[in-house]
Amino acid sequence: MNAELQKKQNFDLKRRFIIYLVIVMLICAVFLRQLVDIQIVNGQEYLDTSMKRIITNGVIYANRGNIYDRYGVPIAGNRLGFCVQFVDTGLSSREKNDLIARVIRLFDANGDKYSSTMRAIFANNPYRFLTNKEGFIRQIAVSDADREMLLEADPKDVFKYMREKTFDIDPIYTDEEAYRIMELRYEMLIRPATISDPLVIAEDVSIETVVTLEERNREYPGFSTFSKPFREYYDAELVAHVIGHMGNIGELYDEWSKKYPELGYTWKDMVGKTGIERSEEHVLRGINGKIRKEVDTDGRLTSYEIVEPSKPGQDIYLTIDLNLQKAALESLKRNIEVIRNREHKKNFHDANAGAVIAMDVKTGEILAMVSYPTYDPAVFLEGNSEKINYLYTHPDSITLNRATSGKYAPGSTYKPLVAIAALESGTITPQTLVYCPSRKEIGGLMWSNLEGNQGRINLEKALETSSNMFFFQVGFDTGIDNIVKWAKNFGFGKKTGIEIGEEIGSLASREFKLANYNEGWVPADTCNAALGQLYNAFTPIQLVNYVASIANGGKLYRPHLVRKRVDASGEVHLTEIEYRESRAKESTIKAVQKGMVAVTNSQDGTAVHIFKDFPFEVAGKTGTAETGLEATSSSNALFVCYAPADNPEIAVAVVVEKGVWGSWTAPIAKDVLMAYFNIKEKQR
Amino acid sequence: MRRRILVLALLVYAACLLQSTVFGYIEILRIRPNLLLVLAVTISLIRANMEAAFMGLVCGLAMDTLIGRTLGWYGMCLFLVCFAIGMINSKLYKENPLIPIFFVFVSSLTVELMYYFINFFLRGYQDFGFVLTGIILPESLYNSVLTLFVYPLVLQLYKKLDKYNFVHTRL
Amino acid sequence: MLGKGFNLLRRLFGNKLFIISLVLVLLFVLAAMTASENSKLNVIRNVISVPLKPLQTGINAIGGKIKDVVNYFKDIRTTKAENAELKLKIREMERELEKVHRLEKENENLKKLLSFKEQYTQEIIACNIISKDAGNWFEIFTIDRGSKDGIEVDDPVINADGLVGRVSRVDLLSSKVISIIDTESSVSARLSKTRDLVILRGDAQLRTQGLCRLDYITPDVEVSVGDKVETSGLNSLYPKGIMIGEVIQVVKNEGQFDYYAIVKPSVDFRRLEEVAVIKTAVEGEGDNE
Repeated sequence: MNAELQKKQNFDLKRRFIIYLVIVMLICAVFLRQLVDIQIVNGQEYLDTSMKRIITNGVIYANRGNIYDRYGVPIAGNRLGFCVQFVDTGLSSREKNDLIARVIRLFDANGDKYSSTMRAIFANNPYRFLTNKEGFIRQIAVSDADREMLLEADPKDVFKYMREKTFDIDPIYTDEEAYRIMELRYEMLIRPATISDPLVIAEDVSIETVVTLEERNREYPGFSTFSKPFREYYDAELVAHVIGHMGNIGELYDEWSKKYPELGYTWKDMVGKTGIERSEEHVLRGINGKIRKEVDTDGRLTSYEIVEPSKPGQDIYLTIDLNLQKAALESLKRNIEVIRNREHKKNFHDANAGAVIAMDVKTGEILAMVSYPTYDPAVFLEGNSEKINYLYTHPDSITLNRATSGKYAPGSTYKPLVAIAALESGTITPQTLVYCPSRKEIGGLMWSNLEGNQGRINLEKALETSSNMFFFQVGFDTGIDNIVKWAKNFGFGKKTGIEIGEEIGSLASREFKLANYNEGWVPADTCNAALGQLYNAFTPIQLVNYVASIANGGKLYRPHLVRKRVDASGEVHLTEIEYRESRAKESTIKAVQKGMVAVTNSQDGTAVHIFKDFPFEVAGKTGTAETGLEATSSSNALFVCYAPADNPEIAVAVVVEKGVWGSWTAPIAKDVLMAYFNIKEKQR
Repeated sequence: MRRRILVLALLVYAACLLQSTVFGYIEILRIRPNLLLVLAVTISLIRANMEAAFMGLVCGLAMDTLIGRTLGWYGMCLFLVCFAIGMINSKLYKENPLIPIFFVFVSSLTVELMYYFINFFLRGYQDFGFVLTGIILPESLYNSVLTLFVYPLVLQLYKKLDKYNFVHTRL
Repeated sequence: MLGKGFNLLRRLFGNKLFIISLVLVLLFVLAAMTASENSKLNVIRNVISVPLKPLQTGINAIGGKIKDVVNYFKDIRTTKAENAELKLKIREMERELEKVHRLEKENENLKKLLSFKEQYTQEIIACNIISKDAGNWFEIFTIDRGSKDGIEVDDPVINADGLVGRVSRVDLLSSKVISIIDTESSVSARLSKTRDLVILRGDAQLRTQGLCRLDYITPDVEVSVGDKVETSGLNSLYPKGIMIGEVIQVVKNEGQFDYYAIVKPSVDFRRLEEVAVIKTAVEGEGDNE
């Protein structure tokens, strides 16, 4: 009995104890939960910061290689910039909004910009969708039902919904403030903001912002700063089209991360988008290093050690001579103005753009490459979308590098090539006299000679006076196939091999006409093609390369812009000089050279008055290319030349869009040559 | 009984004072011995479990206020450790001076480790290796050394207290 | 009924397990309530810290004296030991020692005379350190002035050698100071020689040696060992021109664009006794508490 009672009591005790234990544990659990909330989520015990040792991996940004001109004058370099990043410390929605409002105020006070993906999708004043409405709504809708409703809703209501539901923004903020808070909230919504992958919310901010965020870090939980190199250009407007510009990697990501896996591209990277910045991207970029970071819960760096140092990109020395480049750009700009104001019945005063290239005929080095109008590539670094849009939408195609991608009918500058084809095919000899009356029927059509009745003239005279009739006849006799063969030998209709992006252009040939117009070649086409018209469209780089090969006796060098690359250890990698033979006979080249010398030196030469007191003998050829729009606009004007005529060093090609007469552009070439020889003189 | 509480309170208070002042001068390698912890452990070696536990609680809370973090964690750690010591102390041969030294070492280790793991759990503290070898172990060693001086004093004090208060009070 | 309840209570309180778990629950509650920095419950601390304060101050004053004496004997002993080895050097050493003492005294007198006040136009409050580095883990200490004396959070703290840190929490009679070597600290700084702006940060590793990291040095700035660093005052909590320390090592990591330097603060964070708080608050504001 007693034992039984004892047993029962024991059992009771046990049961009560268990119930009691459960209650205690429940209470503990409730408080533990609250503790986790307070200490992990809202913990602001700064005293403990030094113990919050969280180790993550980070990168040290590699220094992008500098770009210099051939003599080491800097064009592109780097400077230190500061960025602001955010780590979500688990603040409530309202707390986050207040924090962001304060950060925006700080940015405003110091004139800093923050990144905003939202502004490009959902604009304000008035509220409207610019792109990807559905995707945006899917992101901001709290529930599926809301999403359906929002897709139909007025943008104004979408804003209201975001304000109230998605981001819960306090009514004390104005709509404008709320919109700006949303910009950053949206950024946090679509991208991670964790300790190991913080969200970069502003790039290149002022030191004042950095100081405030650093010193008062307790007032800005989750925000921290870091530094990285930013691209910087010096006088880059002179060489904008050569060095190109940078931009977000965007659609290039797939291609480049596959092609250069060792360079570790990410979606956030800025890369070269055009010009040398793009063609040498893999050399310039360098490899980011790895660090082991010790950070606190706000993502502030408290210590770090380098796991793998970054490898800076190689420095690039261009073949460009910045002084010559400057002379070329200034002359082009000035002469376009002069041409526009010249009085002539064929001048519509519409010259607006052009290109100049100067090339070393013995190496293929590009000494100057100018495209006008030009721009400041720093605009793309700032990321100012208004300015970028202006450049992209401007009717003059400001960002187009006309020197390598502008396609122009060569006009009479093609005549030396036709002469080479004629001589090589044996159609004529340098001494052959061709009858050039003012009107003549060739290939079933009546042709008139701009130069009037010239009687019987030889090749030299024909080039000197740019006789159309001579080349109608000789071109016709040579035949299109021979002309095309030699045009190809001299690099037309194919890439020149220059580093930066270039166009192939087109070459008037039987195949081209068939392929593009589905028509057969007629004899008269040959006459047009021989005058550099019809389907002939070449780039200035092709033209200068062709002139340079006439100058050097028939070698086609690969034109190049990179003279050497210097890596971090100081090792120099010189660009190899490559060339290919045009296979034209020496006598042929000599005969054409003679004709081109006559253009600038003989009495009837089309550019003789321009070069009459020039200290060196220059060989050149003018070209006036009809665009087919002569009723309303001026013809394109071209001039190609090389100098000195007896021992050529430099070749120059000039194109002025709507420049009226080829000879009007010769002063630009003269300025470039003058600058080239002056510089050389000074160096001696 | 009342006198005893008063004496013990003064003892803790004096320990606090020493800990926050004089001990600043005897730091070695930036490590400061923890007098309150040593005191609590030595007392719990002498007294029965509930008294031991409450001395641990009081000393622990004092540590919490001194170190200025969340109140309660040291209190809890020391409370539990002292209770455990109080449970087994009757089985120990207390005259062996190595016993208190050993217990102080183990308790220091246990308390600091518990404290570390509370922080690890709540805030994600890391780098256990550094905390253990750079802070916890040296501090435990230092505490053990300190025991050599504290233990005899505490023993004396309790002998005196018992003399005035023959009733052996068990809480 | 009442009797039964009382009985239950008595039985419960007789149960050790109950008491222990009750204490644990109470501790949990306490921890939860005080976890937040702003918690009103932190007043509980005053129960211990307020009565402790006058004695702490007193003992520290005595301790300082004792330390001086101990240091003095230490110095003498080393001098003697070296004397045994290098008889020639001892005179030099003694002369040096005398000079040190003389300078120390001079320095002290000057300090008293100046009382910092001529250096800084803002009002400053001289404070004693009452507990330094309680626990082994932080470069944080408590001073004997609080909101009663008009001290506010973020007020800069200096001593005769230079910048010490800033106030991080203010209680009624005492304040916590967070020093520049703590990882929480960042200071807008300037290289005295080149005037270039940099950021001084506490570093989790250097902290243990009493050093700081000088970040964001641009590559074209030449920094060399011995260069002085001072506060910039630019947009900063700290007034311009306070000495911070000098560069003892320049760390240029290969491939990194900007680099950092290690700075030894001019303040000795091992032996810090009195400091001064620069009051930034407008007069009378601090008294509202």
